[in-house]
Amino acid sequence: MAKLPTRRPSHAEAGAAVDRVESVRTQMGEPLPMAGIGDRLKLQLDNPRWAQVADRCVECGNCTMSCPTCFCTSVIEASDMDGKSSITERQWDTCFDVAFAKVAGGDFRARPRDRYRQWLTHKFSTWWDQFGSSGCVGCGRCITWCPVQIDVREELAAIAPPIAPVEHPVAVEPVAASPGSYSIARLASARPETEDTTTLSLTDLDPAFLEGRPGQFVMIALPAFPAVPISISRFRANAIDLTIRAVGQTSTALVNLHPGAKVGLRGPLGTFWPIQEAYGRHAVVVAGGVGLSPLHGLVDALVANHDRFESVSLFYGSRTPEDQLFRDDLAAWTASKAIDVVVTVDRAGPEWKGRVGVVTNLFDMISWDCTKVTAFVVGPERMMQASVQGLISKGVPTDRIHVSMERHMECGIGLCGHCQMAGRFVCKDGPVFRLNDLGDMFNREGI
Amino acid sequence: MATSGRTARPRVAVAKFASCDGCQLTILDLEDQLLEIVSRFDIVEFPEATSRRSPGPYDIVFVEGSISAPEHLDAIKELRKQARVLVTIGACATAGGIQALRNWADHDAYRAAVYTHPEWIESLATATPASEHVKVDAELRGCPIDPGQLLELLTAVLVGRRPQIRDEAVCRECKRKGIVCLVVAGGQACMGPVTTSGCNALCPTYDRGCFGCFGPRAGANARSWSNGLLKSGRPPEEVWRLFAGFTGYAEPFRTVITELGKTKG
Ligand SMILES: Cc1cc2nc3c(=O)[nH]c(=O)nc-3n(C[C@H](O)[C@H](O)[C@H](O)COP(=O)(O)OP(=O)(O)OC[C@H]3O[C@@H](n4cnc5c(N)ncnc54)[C@H](O)[C@@H]3O)c2cc1C
Ligand code: SF4
Ligand code: SF4
Ligand code: SF4
Ligand code: FES
Repeated sequence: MAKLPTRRPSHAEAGAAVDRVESVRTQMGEPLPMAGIGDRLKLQLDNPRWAQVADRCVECGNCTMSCPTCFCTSVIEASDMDGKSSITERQWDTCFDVAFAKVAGGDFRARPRDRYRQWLTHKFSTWWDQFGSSGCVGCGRCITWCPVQIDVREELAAIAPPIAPVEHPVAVEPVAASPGSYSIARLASARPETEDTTTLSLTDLDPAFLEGRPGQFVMIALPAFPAVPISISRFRANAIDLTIRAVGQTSTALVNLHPGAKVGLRGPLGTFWPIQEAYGRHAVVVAGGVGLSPLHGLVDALVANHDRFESVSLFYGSRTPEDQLFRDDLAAWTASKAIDVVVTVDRAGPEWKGRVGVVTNLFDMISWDCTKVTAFVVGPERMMQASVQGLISKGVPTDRIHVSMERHMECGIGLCGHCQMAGRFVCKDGPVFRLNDLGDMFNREGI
Repeated sequence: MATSGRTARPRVAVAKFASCDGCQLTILDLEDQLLEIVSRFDIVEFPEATSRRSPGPYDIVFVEGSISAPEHLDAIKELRKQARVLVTIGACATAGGIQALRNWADHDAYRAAVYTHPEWIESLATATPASEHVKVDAELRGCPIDPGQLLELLTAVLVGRRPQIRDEAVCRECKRKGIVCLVVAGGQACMGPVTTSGCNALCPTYDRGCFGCFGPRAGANARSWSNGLLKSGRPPEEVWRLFAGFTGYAEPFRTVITELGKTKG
């Protein structure tokens, strides 16, 4: 700037600038009533207008791609033909992309109306939760460049009529320790758990990983494969374990690695289980399927400190006996007498002598005062929903239930936008959430 | 046959149906990578490059062209049997191609208008994509295909992962390239909002609206786009012509064309 030849504007020039701004202001017409817009939108998530505007929207993404505050990106791994070296390329992307919120098990925003709602509610509502300001600077680019003339002002006025604003504390939490670059780790051993799931022990680690906490995850990368988020299932003296289910390309390549292989790791990332909150209370761990993996480190810690809790129990449901993870650990935990381990399966052959039925059936065994329970729940979305409902109906307070959410993740550090769930980045504000902090966003369709 | 010490080079065949050979030429146009490719793949059938024939089975079969003549019907089924992975390449194989416009027309009248001896021509009344006849494992879109996507597919096969080929509107590529929207700023007609990317916005880069040659993208809202074009004052014939291009026979373009065909009479 200092090098530019500058001078003070003349009186006439300064006056012309003020006039120009004023004339733009008058051209803009009636201003959009912005007061309380964030709250107004939150009350309208089921408004039928979302589907109507989505019928018009061609999902070109022009609005998001030209919006000066939109920050979403995706990554591609461009590799040589042998997959020996690859370049990670980040490019602008948009939540209008049909695969933007997809995970191996399904798509969180499968319908166009979900994606249109994500865009508008993010700019005008959940942005406040994330950044303490509006996501719209008022430039009008999204209106100008929409090829089917959708005008966000019209949509907002129709969807979210004025109401009295509600005061919100702005909660911008510091990001958990989250290194942005990869360090190399070595695969010490690979232990099959089930037909499709394997536990990898990684060693030669950056010491930061050993200081991680149960519930946190890492981004793990192989050359030529897109990096994926995986929870740390166990902390060892000089290693961490990752328990991975082969559901697609990267996870399959990972479980097929041989000891000695090198992998790239970033992390540890995200929030962790607040163990201290269960001190003096009944600690109840509820796991479904591979959901036991992010809970394994927690169970280790509960067992090691069991005398600090009123009681410690694990309810674990899997599809079949063959789908059970960590069978040796389950036996060792049971033998330790520090924890009550109860397992159940959805279906089993005649040789199975244990319980059959969904995990929520096990809650009937709870005889304690449920207001003194602190619960930790992970599993497929539907199982989490049922478990949480079961716990609440037993009397467990919603601020004493902690869940871990799965979302599509590419960066893991709050930059790419893929993992957003209403006003939260699941990667840095989660994956572990206190249930009542999620409010009615927990398992809500299309968020 | 060259013996390179690598024992398990995938056997690759390129097969051709009704098409112009442009997609096959794209393979040959990968000049800088051709040596790398042939050292890793055993290309045993490739009509555009060699008249040598080799029977199946093949690890990968690239299929160019639409199913357009009676003998194609058995040939595509036989190829499927011989192929571990079958990949269709180009607008003809993936969508029926420009020749699929006859699917809305009187085939015999066309034949009579074009050929002096229409009775010598054996062709089907429709030109259809391979996927209407057999299971297709992967598609490379475009007229012709994009060399970068082809290379990515070959790389993905070697590395053992899914090709990272995006399915998004051409508009996204325009925005990344900083191309000013031809529709909004230039009043042009453009298929970009409903067409899948991959060409790196080739036509808009040269100030020409997208022809839609990569075909409909996943979830394309073709009806809203045709309504938008009509509302901007374009006559139904023009909008019909825009959709009825290289990939018009692919849904949801097909439905829009059929409906517009009725209104334009
Ligand atoms: C915080 C967190 C912790 C997780 N912990 C574990 C764990 O401990 N063990 C385990 O087996 N799985 C875990 N998952 C799920 C795991 O990340 C996905 O199964 C994995 O990303 C699938 O990738 P893929 O390439 O094998 O599958 P594909 O089906 O081939 O995936 C296709 C593409 O979709 C994307 N994708 C699919 N699912 C996800 C996802 N959940 N997150 C990000 N991108 C996705 C990827 O970009 C991938 O390239 C966790 C997910 C999250 C968000
Ligand atoms: S008007 Fe607001 S939402 Fe639209 S592009 Fe500008 S900043 Fe983004
Ligand atoms: S999620 Fe928000 S920031 Fe990202 S593209 Fe959509 S509207 Fe823009
Ligand atoms: S610019 Fe318009 S048509 Fe395109 S995604 Fe945005 S709202 Fe939809
Ligand atoms: S994974 Fe990128 S923002 Fe959360």
